[in-house]
Amino acid sequence: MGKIRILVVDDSPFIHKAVTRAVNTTKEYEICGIAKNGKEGVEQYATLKPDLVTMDITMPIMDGLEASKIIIAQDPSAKIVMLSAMGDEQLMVNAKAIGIKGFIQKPFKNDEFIAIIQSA
Amino acid sequence: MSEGNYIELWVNALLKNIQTMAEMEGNPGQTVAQPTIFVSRGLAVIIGITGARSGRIILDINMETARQLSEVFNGETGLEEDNIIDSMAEFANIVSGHGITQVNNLQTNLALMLTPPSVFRGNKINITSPKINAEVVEIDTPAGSVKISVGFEGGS
Repeated sequence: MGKIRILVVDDSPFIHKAVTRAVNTTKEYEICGIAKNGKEGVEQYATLKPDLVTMDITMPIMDGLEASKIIIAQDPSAKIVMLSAMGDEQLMVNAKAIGIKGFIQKPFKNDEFIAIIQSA
Repeated sequence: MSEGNYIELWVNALLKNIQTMAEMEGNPGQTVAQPTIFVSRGLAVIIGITGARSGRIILDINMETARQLSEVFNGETGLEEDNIIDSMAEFANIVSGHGITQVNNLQTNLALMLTPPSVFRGNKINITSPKINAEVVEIDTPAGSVKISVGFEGGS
């Protein structure tokens, strides 16, 4: 059985490294692509067809909520986990309404990251 | 809560993340009004605040302190300057995100959001925000001091 493929959408190289470190603690997952803003995330989702997306909120060009709306409109079965430093109650309500499956608050520990993407 | 700068919430977020990410204790100084011109000590990360109120957060640090913190964050030494800048930009983003989360939960009508970070690198760069009334707090850490400035248009 193949690995579960993750698309990372985040403008921060620091987070790309942190997510890579977390994913490399398991043999179950692999990173199939990295997008640096929401627009790139939408485009890469269409071509890579990942099993799961980690999505930042604050990004240039297109933010993560807008990108998530577009991805879920095109693929209602998309599994998107928000990965953000922001986490206020209204934002959570908005994210759930869009169809986002989980939330990881930055900074994260490797085991917390894996536990949340496993439950998404 | 008054319509101030909520500086204490961002200071708490900074202290918490110095502890969580760097495993260091920070010691905050007094909150002071910031002059119109902010003089950076080497690396300044600026993050805008949008929503019902507009403002900005500046996290300012010298490069040696930035290097020491970045090495702890990444668990590796000998980082290139680009890695240090990326690490500090994300650190400022995390601190700002935690602060704004607390503000939004207290003042639900504000619906504040953040802009992506902009990083300024250089000696004695002057940052001028004429419409912003800001407050600043300097926090001492074992790696050196970190300064945080928070201000809104019309401010406190």
